[in-house]
Amino acid sequence: MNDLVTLWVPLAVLGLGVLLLLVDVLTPPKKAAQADVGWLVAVGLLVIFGATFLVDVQGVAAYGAYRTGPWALFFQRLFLVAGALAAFGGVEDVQKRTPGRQGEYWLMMLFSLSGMVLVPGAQNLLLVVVAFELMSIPLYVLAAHGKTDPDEASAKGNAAEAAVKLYFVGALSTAFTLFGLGLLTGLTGTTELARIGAAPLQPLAALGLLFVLGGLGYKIGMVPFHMWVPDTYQGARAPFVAFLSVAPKAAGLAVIAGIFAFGMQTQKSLWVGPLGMAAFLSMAIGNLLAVTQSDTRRLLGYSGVAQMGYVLIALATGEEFGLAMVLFFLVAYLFTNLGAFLVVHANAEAGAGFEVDGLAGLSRRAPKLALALACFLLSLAGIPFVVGFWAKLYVLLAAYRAGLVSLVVAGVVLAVIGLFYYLRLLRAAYMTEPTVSRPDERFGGPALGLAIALCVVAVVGLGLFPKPLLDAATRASHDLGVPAAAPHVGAR
Amino acid sequence: MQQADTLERIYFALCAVLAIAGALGTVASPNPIRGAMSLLFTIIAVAGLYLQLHAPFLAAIQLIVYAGAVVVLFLFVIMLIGPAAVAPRDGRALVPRILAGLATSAVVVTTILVLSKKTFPRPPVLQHGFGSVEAIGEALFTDYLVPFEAISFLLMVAIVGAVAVARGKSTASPAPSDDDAVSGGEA
Repeated sequence: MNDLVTLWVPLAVLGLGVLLLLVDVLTPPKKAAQADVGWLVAVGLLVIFGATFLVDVQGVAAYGAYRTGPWALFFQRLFLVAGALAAFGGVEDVQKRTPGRQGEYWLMMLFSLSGMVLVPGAQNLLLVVVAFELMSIPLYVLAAHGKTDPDEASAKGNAAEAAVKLYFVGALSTAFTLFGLGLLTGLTGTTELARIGAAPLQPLAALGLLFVLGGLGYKIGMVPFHMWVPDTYQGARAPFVAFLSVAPKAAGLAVIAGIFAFGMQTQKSLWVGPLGMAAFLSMAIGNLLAVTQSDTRRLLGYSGVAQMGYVLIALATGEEFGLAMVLFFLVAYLFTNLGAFLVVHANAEAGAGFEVDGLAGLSRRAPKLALALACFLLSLAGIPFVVGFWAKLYVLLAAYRAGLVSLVVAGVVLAVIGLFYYLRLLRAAYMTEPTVSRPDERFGGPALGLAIALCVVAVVGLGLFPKPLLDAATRASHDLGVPAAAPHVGAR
Repeated sequence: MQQADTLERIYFALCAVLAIAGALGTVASPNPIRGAMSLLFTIIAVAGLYLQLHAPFLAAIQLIVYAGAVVVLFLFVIMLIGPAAVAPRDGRALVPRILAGLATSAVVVTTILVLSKKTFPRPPVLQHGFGSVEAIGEALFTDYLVPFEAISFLLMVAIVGAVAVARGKSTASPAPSDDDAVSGGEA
């Protein structure tokens, strides 16, 4: 009984899935095709999100395999919000493209979320792997959703290609992760996250860690393993990509933080180097390749790769403060990137396509949408008074305090390159004449508008008042139980 | 005692060589059927290793599930595509492939070299009943209950997902006309 209470968030998400299934099955097909089932998902997820503030459950469940506390709860709230925003953003799209098959889309999304909310609380490597797969497998299905849809907007990249790439990369990365984890558990004889740090026999533990980092690196789109990102982002439907580009990455980082910063904290010297290197490469290659892209989805894909580099900087510190900044950055990235993808989607819904030139004259065609895009892009670039600025600042501060000065310098320099392509998008939106002028353009429906508006409120609101989020992130990071920052020479 | 030890080593060497040979065959054979059959060798050899590790239940499951079901499924799929199907020649440049091979071999060789100098700690003494059906069942329904339940759910999701992906065309057939009407109205 007690265990079920502790596991209430995953169970609530599953319950919502069952409710959706019942609604979907019991509605006559004709009616179901016209209904917007996504509203149910979005509102349901928001209700669960609200309930997380009212229900105060902490503790260990299931023989120590699962632990809920501020750390797990922080991620769970992030996933629930991401799911709700993606649901609002996708309601109309799913209804319009695949009216007869809405149920399966939303069901898969809820299944994926139920795996996600298990991930940060998992204290046993077996549960980590299973929860992670439970999150990933529905994503492959979602990427393929509407793969037979004859749509001129998706002609340039198609959902089948996106799904196949995501699937093969995902399967391969799981194999890598499992091999690495197999080495680690083989060396320690335990699958408990808290005890794998005792792995003796340095070279094998290092090899195992390298495989784990590689496998998880695929999921978060870290640099040597990022090839799938732009193709998948280009091929799948934009509202799904908005979700894919934030939530699974956060889950991947939760696992990386759990295994490296928490589980292997005693063997920090083994993983700080590779993690720092991956952070640098992600920032450099992501930013440089984004400059040359002409498709907004690919551009945002590479920009996402670069953003992951910044998160990894903070993760590479391996300290409480650095991890708090990881959490802060992830929330900032959630609202910013999700919002940016939804704006791009709205613009494409109006028939302007996904090319950068398609944004031309957005400020005149849809002033509010252009303003939202400006907020998101400035936040991605790290300009003050939107949340992305604080995210970048805190990440670099954490790295500086941990003595990773070279990464700080690289981060600042590469952020300037990032500014260039973000501003290129803004220039297209604000300073170019519209190529086609159609007075009756519709930029998606009210749900999409609501999702974008919520993102704008969060990006600007947290940019002006970052303190509550900062406190929550600090509490959550403290809960994980990694060492606090050691006094470092050169730091204050 | 000495004799038992030698026998054990011979058994291990036999299984290990078979497993590695099977793995190489799986990767290297151009004919997919041979690849699948080589995989069978690896699986049987690994089951043999499980036996030596006092895990008879795991060995049996390995044989039933992997040798009995998975490989057969592989063979079915290969037959469905046509056993004559041969992978197209890999046209990628030779240099990166050689470099990748060298890098991997370097990692493997270094690991072996370093490990050969280390003395491994003695494995802990087995508790009574280790690896038996009872012990595994108890572990599954106590320590690993949540992962176990999650796996059953995961399998269901995977099946539902596979059906959802595969049935794409048949149910979508009325949809295009709807979609056409919608986009036509907009244009």
